[in-house]
Amino acid sequence: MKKLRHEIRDAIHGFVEFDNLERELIDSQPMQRLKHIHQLAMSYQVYPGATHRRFEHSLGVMELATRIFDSVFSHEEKISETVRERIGEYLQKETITYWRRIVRLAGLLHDVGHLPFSHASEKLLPKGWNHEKLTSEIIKKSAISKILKQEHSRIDINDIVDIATSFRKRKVTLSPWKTLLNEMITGNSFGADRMDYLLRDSLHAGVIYGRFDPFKLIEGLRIVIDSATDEIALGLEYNSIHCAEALLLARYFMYSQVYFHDVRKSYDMHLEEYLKKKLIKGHFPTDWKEIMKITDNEILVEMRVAAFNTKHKLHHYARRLLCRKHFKTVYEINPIHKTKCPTIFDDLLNSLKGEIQSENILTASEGPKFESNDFPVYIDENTIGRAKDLSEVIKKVPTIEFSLIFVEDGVREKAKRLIKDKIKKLFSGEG
Amino acid sequence: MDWRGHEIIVSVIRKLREHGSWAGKTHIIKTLYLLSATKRMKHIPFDFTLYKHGPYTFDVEDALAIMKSYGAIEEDDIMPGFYGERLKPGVNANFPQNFAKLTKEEQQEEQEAIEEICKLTGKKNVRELECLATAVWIFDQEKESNTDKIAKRVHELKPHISKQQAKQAYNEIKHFLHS
Repeated sequence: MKKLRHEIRDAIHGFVEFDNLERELIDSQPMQRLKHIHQLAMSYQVYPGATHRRFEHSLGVMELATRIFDSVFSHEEKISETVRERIGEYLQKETITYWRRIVRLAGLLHDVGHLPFSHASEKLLPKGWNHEKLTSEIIKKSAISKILKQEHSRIDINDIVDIATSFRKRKVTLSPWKTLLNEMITGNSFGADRMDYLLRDSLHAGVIYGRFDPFKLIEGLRIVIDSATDEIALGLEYNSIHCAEALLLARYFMYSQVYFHDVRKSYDMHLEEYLKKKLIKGHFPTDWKEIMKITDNEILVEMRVAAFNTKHKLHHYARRLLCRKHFKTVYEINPIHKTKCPTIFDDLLNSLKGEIQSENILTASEGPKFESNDFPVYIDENTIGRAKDLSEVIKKVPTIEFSLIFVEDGVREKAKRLIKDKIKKLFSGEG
Repeated sequence: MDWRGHEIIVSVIRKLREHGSWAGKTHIIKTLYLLSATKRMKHIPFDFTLYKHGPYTFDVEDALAIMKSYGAIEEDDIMPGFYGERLKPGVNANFPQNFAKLTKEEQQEEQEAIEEICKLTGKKNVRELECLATAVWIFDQEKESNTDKIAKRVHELKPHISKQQAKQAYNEIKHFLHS
């Protein structure tokens, strides 16, 4: 007899179960390709354990998204009358089963459009493209779409795309129902994507910053009417707010200590340089069929050849990445410098460029970006508060940003001296 | 760095607060949109789109985060029961002006325009701002100037806004659009 349920043992969530349709999708080429895309690009050059791939993250997101869905919808007492009035039509058995299926598939497929080395190479897509857009293309056009159409014509593929990819990044408006389900996957505060990557990345990087209690957090989720927008939203019970505080702090620490680690960013910049030289016209194609053919593996093999062949046109770039010849950090912006002189980063960079050849200098900057950590909090049937009103911790979680200047090792001391002198001049009013 | 955008945002926050406004993100965005759509200011460096709660710009969200990071604006104390952060000029509020390229006359005109619009938007609640800005969007983007048709269209797009509310909102701002 054909087995109806299958399972894979996952390092974070234990057994992740799935059915035949999901198995077929997991076995499809777009999903299997994710086994060859590093979740954290070349972070393994800094954290040797961080060699995990997008594939297991995708399984993890499916698992967590399901737990969130079940926590919210499987307990009658968690759905108040006012909420029921708004979403009653979706709570019929057949309908809710359909949407549970969609949420699971959205979680599973949410990253199929990632380029090699994940986010580190995303800047090398032409304007207007990102991995979300590629994900949408691949779900709609690849073997995934065939599997969904042939076997289960009742599934609307657009529903999966709407739930799987950030509606904010796609700049589209979804119905309140779809917005709610999309939040379960992509949400800033309780999205399964964020929960999984924090837990998984911290485990593999070997740091403890990314840890929080996902069980208690998910148990505390419920649908509320958000008083700020008068729409249904994913909210948290007041007695679980500490779990959300832990998650937001975990995210802050993971960004400052792992994702934005200066050496890691230096590798990202060298990787970008290398790929720019390697790719035709300096960017990735946008044809999903072409993207399907490339993973980290193909690029690393060629990079290795280039690194050890002095005549290879990419030798110079490849050895930076594979022979640990990366540029070294000489300046990292900090809040005191920035407040004293908001243009300090550009001032220092310009000053360096006057004295050091520009090919020996690299910069990396990101943020600060708007990130609302606010969410509705269920206190009782008549009282829905806001996280920022109720938690001093959530109110004060710092914004994530970095700006770094790197230079070639041979000019490091000179660059440091120049920076020191320039800062002295700027702060004494001479600069 | 878009210093010009930052300079305008600081001016808007100052004026909104003078008019007793909450001066939160929604007030700032809708005010900027109205300044742009009413052509009260020559160039507002933000792209607007019709989003969930009326005209919106993602650019301002990021600009606010950057401005906070170097002290051009700060979060003010919030009051329980009000939603979202409340903003005020920060220690470096005047810094973007170092890059200003406007003449004194242009600056004067700009301040007058900001004063006019902030007077209108300052004390409105989020729902009223949504209604007002959406009505202007229909006028500006869909090139509709008939009050009844604008009200009908606003109601179509935002069923929670009645035609009467949309009509009232449009009448309030109509003279800015046709002057």
